[in-house]
Amino acid sequence: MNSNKLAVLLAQDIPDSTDFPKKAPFLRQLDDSVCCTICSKYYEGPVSLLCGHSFCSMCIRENLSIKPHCPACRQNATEGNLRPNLVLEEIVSAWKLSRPYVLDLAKQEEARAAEPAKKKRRLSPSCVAGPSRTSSTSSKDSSPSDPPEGDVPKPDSIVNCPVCDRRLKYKEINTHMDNNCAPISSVSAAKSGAPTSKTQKTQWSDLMRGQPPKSKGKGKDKAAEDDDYPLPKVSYDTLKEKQLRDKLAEHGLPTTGDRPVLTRRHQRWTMQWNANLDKSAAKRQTKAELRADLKKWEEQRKNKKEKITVDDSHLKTHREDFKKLVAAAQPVKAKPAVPESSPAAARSSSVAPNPPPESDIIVVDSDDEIGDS
Amino acid sequence: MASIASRRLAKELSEIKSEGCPVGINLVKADDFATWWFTIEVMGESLYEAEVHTLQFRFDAQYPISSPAVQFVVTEGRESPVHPHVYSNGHICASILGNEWSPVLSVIAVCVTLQSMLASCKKKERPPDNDRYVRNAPENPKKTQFEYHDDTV
Repeated sequence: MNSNKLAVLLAQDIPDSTDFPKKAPFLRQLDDSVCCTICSKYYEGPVSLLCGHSFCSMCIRENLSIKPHCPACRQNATEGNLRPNLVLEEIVSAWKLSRPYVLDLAKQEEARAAEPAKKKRRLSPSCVAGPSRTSSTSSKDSSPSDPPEGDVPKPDSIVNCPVCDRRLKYKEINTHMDNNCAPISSVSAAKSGAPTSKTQKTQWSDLMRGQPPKSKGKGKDKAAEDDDYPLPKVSYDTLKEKQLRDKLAEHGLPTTGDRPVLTRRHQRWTMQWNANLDKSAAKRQTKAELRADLKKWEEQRKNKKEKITVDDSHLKTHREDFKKLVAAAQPVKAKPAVPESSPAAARSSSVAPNPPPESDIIVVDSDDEIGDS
Repeated sequence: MASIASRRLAKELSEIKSEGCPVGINLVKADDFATWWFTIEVMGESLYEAEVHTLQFRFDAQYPISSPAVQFVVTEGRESPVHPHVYSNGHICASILGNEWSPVLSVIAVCVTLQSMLASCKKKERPPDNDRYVRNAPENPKKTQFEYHDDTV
């Protein structure tokens, strides 16, 4: 079954930098550099540490909960050092969109290089066609209606401002640019003197517009605002189980299970919640999605545990050895008893210490050990 | 999420298959995302010339946050190299497999590190506490608390 899963996974088209031709190592490098070095997927909610290394928020939070330093350079780091890397996030989403296109181009280029030179001609005109229309770099393309290069446009002809790209008359362009690209009407108004204060006023209100609605909608948006705050770390040892359940209920999470389960659930939720906040607002998951993720995670953990507990073949194969060992450890106790009863005593005592029912607990312990170390 | 482990391993595997392994390292089997085998041999002049050893990697669902369990295979006629950090049961005492593991490392990175660990060895010998360790060693080397005291080899 495992190998089946492997085949399925390998058949899936997992994007990989080796998709790009070998001749374009820089594209491979680019593709790799927008992947998290922990999960090797494209960054999801990337955050940077003080040392400058970036990881997915969830990846690094998970790692910091085990070891408090940067996985790449081992410099000390804490969750408090994490800062969302918005530019990187932007780059990743842009790259995800452009990747198929670039990959296609790269493959075309590769195919073209493999074929004889004849084909080279076919592609190049279509490549040039786009840009040549806007700029007049290609001399072949310039039609007679276009003004010859270096010619000065007429005062009334419409031109694009080279700074802000606004379209205006050529004669106004200098005034426009001298006024930091202000719309020409307000420039002339400013020139006339009187309405200055008015335009300034509107400008100020423009500037301040961001603030007032927020303070006004305080009551109404309270819940929404709470959603933007990271959850603090909880010292679980100081909490009563009831308080822990309340904390989970607060976020609409299940409150079943014993204390370690509750603690782990809340820890995971806090991690997911805070990682989600490191994404830009548009990319964040909803609470319901986060809850679904948490559920999935818990189920996976459960499955894993069951798998290990099933594997008690070690217990079975060594049962005889265990019995012998137990018997050897207990002669002092067995001695005072009547000889006939000693086999029975040995058996009952051998059942107690190496018992299947306890194996569950043993596994949980060893599991945690691995996690902690 | 377990899918992170298998996804990352899938990516590592596809990279190995398309790029090939570094010199002296070869993939033997990787039929699933639980156990992989590599052969490793030291190239050039060293105490281990013409020896080929087999490395076994075992991954859990927390990979790459948790380290893989790495050891030399000592069954099916395969042997563990005689090295001051390698026990005769195949367990390896190397900090990057224990507390210095970092999730940015990869399977290939571990192979290369161990290859160079062998290459820089000056004297072929077992660790001083080999017999004692092997007698009580757990099946999984990750359950051993190694003490790393020698940075020279």
